Order: sequence, then C-alpha cells, then structure tokens
Amino acid sequence: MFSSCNTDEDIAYCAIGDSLIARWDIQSDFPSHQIYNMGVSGSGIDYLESKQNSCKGRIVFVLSGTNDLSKIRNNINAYSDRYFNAIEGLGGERTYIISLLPRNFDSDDNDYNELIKTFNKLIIEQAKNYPTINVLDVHDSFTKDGTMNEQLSYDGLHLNNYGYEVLSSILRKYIK
Amino acid sequence: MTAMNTNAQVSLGLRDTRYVYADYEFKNHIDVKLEHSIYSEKFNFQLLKLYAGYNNQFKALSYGADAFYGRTYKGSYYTIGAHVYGEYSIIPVFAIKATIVPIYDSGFDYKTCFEVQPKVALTKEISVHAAYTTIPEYREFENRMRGGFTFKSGKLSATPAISIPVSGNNKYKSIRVLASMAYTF
Repeated sequence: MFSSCNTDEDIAYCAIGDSLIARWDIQSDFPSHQIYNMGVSGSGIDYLESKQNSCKGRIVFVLSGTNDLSKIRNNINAYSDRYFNAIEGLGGERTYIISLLPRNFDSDDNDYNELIKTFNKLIIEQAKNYPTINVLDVHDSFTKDGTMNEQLSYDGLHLNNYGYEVLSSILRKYIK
Repeated sequence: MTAMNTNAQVSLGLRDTRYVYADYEFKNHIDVKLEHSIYSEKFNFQLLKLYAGYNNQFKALSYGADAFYGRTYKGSYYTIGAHVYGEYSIIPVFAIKATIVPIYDSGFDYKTCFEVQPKVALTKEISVHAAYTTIPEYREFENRMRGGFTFKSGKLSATPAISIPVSGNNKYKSIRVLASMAYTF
C-alpha cells in the first residue's frame, strides 16, 4: 500500500510576493506539502530584491507587481529586466511566476488593467530566455468584462476564498 | 476521548473538518485510534495516522498521553510525536486543559508544541472553549487562537470552532472555520 518512505520526495516550496500571497492560507489548500509563505502586504520589486538566495533549491511561486504599477508605467522594459533579475536571484530550482491579476480597486487609475495585460505579455515573452522560469498565465481565469471578477475578490484587488480556490486549482498541477 | 463506564467502546468522528477517525477504547483507560485525512489533494497525499494512548482521572484532574505516527500514502513525509495532557476542573463549570506535544515532521523537523484551553460549561449539553495553540492544524508550525462550542446530545457531540493565526504574514487574516464531531457507540 505504501511506497518506501523517502523524505527526499517532500519537496519544499516557497510562495513569495505581496498581499495576494501573504493573505493566502496556502497550508490549508495544500496540507500535505511543505510550503513557506513569504508574502508581505504592500511589497513589490524591492522586497524580491531583498530576498536574494532565500528560496535556494526550492520550487518557487511568485505573485508580485500589482503594487508597482506606477514603476511599470514609467519604464516597463527596465522594470521587467529588474523583475527577472530579482526573481532569478531568489535561487529557486524552478520558478513559476503567476501573471498579474486584473484589478478593480476603488482608487485604481483607468489604465491599470491595460498596463497589467501589457506587462503579462512582456514577461511571458521574456521568460523564454530563462530555462528555470515559467509564467503561469492566470489572468483570464480572474477576468470578467475586462476587470477583476467580483465573485473572486472582495475589494477588486484582494482575493476571497473563491479566488484562492481558483488559484489553488491552477497551482495544483505544479505542486507534486 | 470520551470516558464511559463500560469496558470497551468505539467512537467514530471528524476532527477539524479534514480528518475522520475511528477510536477503540478498552479497559476504560487504553485507546487506539486510526485517523485518515480528507484533504482536497490527490489520494497519494492523504495522511494516515495511528495513535495509542492511556487516560485516567484523579479527583478533579483528568490526564493522559498518547503516541502517534503518521505518513502519507506516497511516503512524501512522516510525522511522529506524542500528546501529554491534563485537564483540571477548578469548579464544576470551569476547567483548564493543558497539552504538550513533542512532534517531529520529516520536512519541518522537531518542535515542542503546546496548547492551553479554558472551558466553561454553559449547560449540561453546551460548553464554550477557547485556546492558544502552537500545535499544527496541518503540518506547518503556527501560533493560533481557537474558539468554539461543544454541543452534546446523547452519544453525539459536535464542536464548531474558528481558528485565527496570531503571528506570521497572515496574522488575524486567514480565519479557518473548523468542525469536529464524534459518535460513541
């Protein structure tokens, strides 16, 4: 009934990013797995850069960037280069970048969702240059009428339990 | 574990929404329990856990201990440890339970966890409880506050509870709603 108990099979995972990660009860969605939640509310690229080598040898999920939209707007290509350098520097054995989610927050600028779509396209292309980095394009799973599906979020930015169920079901393919 | 005056009894139950179990207690003090997870994960990642323990009572103090071993079907990790507990009824309607849990998880290594739980009996059938706990609800070591009610009716008891993290990145945010129940034959 049981296979041999090889603890090497217990792969450790890191989830790192902003409040979308920090607020995720990831242990409840993947109770049998060793997943470290390194999310920090309000964080962005500076936080990723401060965590160099902190995920060494682990499988890493990154969801970050929605707090940096003004930086992205200023110079999207420079930001994207910095983004990949920071993510590569985390040291993950394999890294999955979760694409930016649509948003519909009260104080949002009108161009945010277009900016998010443009940035997602850019990182999908740029990831092709990094053999250990993949982008999970989840954007459309959270989109309704071009913005965040209100059924999956309680304020247009942060996910509710249904939103996290969608995210978990996507990540389940990559957590083995 | 439910204490009874018969020599042996069987209980079936649910713990914290995610675990079902069967418990066999004999000679009033010795019990063995088999617990199976019902995680929303693939079958290979389900956890099977075996407990063997002893419990007794001395005046207003109930006490006991058990040892446990659990592992996933896949063998991706195992856990081994023990619960040592004492529950003291200060007055008939108020008791405090303290539990110490040395636990080793093959992924998270060793930690000594504990839980302190005051309980108040509102009626013969209903009690309210709160707890501060460092015992993992799943695998990860967390500091959480728990609170809930226990309703008893004959051989059936049900315990809905909420669990709130009081440290870490999602402090006070990711609230879990947990249900436990037991039926003693």
